[in-house]
Amino acid sequence: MSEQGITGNSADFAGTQSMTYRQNGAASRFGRLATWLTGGRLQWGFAGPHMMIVVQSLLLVAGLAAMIAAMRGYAVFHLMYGLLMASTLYRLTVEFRERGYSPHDEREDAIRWKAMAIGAGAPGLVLVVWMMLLGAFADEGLWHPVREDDWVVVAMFAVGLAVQISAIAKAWMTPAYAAELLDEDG
Amino acid sequence: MMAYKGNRVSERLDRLAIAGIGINADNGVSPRLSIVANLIFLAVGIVGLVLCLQEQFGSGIVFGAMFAASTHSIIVEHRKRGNAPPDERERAIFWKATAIGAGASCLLASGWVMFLGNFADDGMWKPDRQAEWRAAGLFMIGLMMQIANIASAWMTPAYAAELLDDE
Repeated sequence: MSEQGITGNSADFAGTQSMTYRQNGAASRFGRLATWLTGGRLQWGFAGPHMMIVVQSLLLVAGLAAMIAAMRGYAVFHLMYGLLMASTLYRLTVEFRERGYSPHDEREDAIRWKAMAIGAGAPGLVLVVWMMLLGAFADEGLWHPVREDDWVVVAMFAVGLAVQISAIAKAWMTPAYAAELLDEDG
Repeated sequence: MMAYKGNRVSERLDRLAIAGIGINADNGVSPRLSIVANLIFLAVGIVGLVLCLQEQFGSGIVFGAMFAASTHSIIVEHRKRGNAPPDERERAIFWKATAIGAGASCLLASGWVMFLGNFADDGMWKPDRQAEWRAAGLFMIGLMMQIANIASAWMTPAYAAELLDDE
């Protein structure tokens, strides 16, 4: 085909069957939803800070539901263990994909300590408030662990809460474009 | 002419005080003084918790230790900085110390509860009366503050004020 043959002039395509492109509404909506969920870093799989907030929030809500179920007498040991493992492994995987074996830079270090303070402080305060309430209402039937399984569930809930809240705080303080900014610095 | 003769006992006591609580002891914000004070509050908290478990005392002593630690940190912060906002170094130290304090007490509580998951039926101690729950809660929040205060003082050099003046 000569160069003149690809000018876009409709006369050039005379006699051929043209294929019109029509936007697929459902696909573009799904695309927009995925971009919103992952913060536009689909090429990273599930590794963006935005996705971290979404996943850890879901795990946190599931943990709360499991804790409520434990209070009602259901056996949720394995569910709580699974949630704790999921939070921890997801966080470790994402952090490894973001940084590999390289050490934290100054910004990452500052964010890590702040996130850890928020993440460990929140479940600590929750436990303290709960114990203080028990100090006033334990005799009136306020729930507290009795069986051995209940104690383990409470421990896993507290540690899981620390992992989830610190991961959310860390992702919240990490701009989605941090990696690009670092590239430009070099 | 009045001959000056050093008082050796007083000199030795001075040296001992400086070795114990650091060179900024006169204005009460010496980091080492902070460490010593918070270790004392921690010990008092532990004694209070044990007395409460033995049903010899309520949760008052543990509350006192917690209250002393929080008051101490407020006074030290105010004397160091007044109403000025923390600078970048102070902010970094604050978050790191809070992370260490909250993380340590949270892990300690979780470890204890995890052990209860295995040994509660074998007689391992757990809060039973209301006063014990109160004491355990107060001890935990006191521990958070005390460890955070110690970590913060540990990371603050004794000569920070002089360095800032030189700048």
